[in-house]
Amino acid sequence: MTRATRAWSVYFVIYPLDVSSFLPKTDTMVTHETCSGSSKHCHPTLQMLDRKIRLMALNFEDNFAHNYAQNFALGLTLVLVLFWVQMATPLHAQVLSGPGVVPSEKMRSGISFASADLRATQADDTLNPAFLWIDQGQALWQQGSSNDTRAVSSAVTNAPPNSPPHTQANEHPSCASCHQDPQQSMRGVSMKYPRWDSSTSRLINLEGQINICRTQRQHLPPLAYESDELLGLTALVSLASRGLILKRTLDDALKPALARGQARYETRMGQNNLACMHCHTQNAGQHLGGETISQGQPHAYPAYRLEWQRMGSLQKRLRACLSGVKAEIWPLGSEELTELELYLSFRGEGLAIESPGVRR
Amino acid sequence: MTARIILPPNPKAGVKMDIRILIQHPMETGFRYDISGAAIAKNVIKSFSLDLDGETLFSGELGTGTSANPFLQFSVILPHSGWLKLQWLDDEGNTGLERVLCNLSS
Repeated sequence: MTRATRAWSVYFVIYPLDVSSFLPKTDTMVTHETCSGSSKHCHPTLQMLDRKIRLMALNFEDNFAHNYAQNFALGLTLVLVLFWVQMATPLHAQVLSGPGVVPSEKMRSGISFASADLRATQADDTLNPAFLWIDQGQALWQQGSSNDTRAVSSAVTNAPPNSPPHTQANEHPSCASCHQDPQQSMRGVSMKYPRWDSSTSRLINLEGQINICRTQRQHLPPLAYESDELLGLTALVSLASRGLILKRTLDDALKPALARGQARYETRMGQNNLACMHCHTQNAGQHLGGETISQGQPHAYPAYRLEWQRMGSLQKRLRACLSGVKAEIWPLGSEELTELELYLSFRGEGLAIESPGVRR
Repeated sequence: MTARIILPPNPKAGVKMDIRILIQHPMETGFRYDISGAAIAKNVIKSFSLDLDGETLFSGELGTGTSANPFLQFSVILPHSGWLKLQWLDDEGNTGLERVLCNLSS
């Protein structure tokens, strides 16, 4: 918004206020004329000053009233134009711009490119195989870990079943002991990741956060990337956000990582010399062999993929693309993949979260 | 390995209902080779059965033509409420067990 348009808008908004209402009223002047002259309010100099101020105010108001009709029309037009610009501009474009971004009116979920059968599989939770992993995540959420000290200690010491739990049990609290019901406490959480961790100065995605919780709070070894356990917990947390509109908040700490992620999305790589955007922005919806190219949106991951015949994280999917363009395949959990994941989450703003999705 | 026995909401006595079974299993066909060229041993679910309080409702044998994480569905009229028990056995000799309580409303 330029200075000139801002000035016009301000004028349009404040004009209807009666300027003279801020100044001495006419009835006080009558009081001055009939007063005895002893009060300091009736001092002749003050009265003169008073009249001058009111005269100035009347002139001021007359000048504005003279041009009121044309100013009103101009101001109204400007305000309407500004309003239209605000509405027409997609929200995410205020954060992201560049050749990799899909305009908000053209954004499509990956499931819209899939067959009717696959869409039906994702739509019905009793058909969706991803719920096998969610069941495991739910069990893990309650018990904390498969080698829960409470269960192990009572088995090892042959303690009677009604004896108090082993004292070490509190060293390995379950997820539920802090977070209770994941569908309540984890609602909207998955879309806050990847986040910037200022204490370690690195990006942390949801998988990384779950492992931080495991090592620092539960005092358990971290779960391996792409293990059924970690996928189960990630999918369980993501499920709590299903149906919410993906919305990110950009803070200053994220900006350098986001810029690096964007550069990776837009940079040609590999023997095929393709950038992500060449397929997933410029040619989305076109065919590549027998496949339809999707827009590369992240909102359904972790997802069950028929090609893998199992659940997989977004980073596993990105690695499949890197393999496709014959580029160096970055390791799971690497800075490169997490920055790309961060960029994709901003790029996908406005889509409803589908996790756990089903993809071809 | 885990499994799901999915019952319709509010199953009723004497009314035909669909029971869905989903078993987590790689269903390795035996036709594939690993990165060093060695054959990957066949490992599929050989047999499975679904019982209602010990009485077999549905059983079968699966082969290499079945996808990973097989999904099975069949229709049945249950005679009474009870525990449904799903058991399976694969080529490696691993067995699986999943139980769910089915309460029929009249």
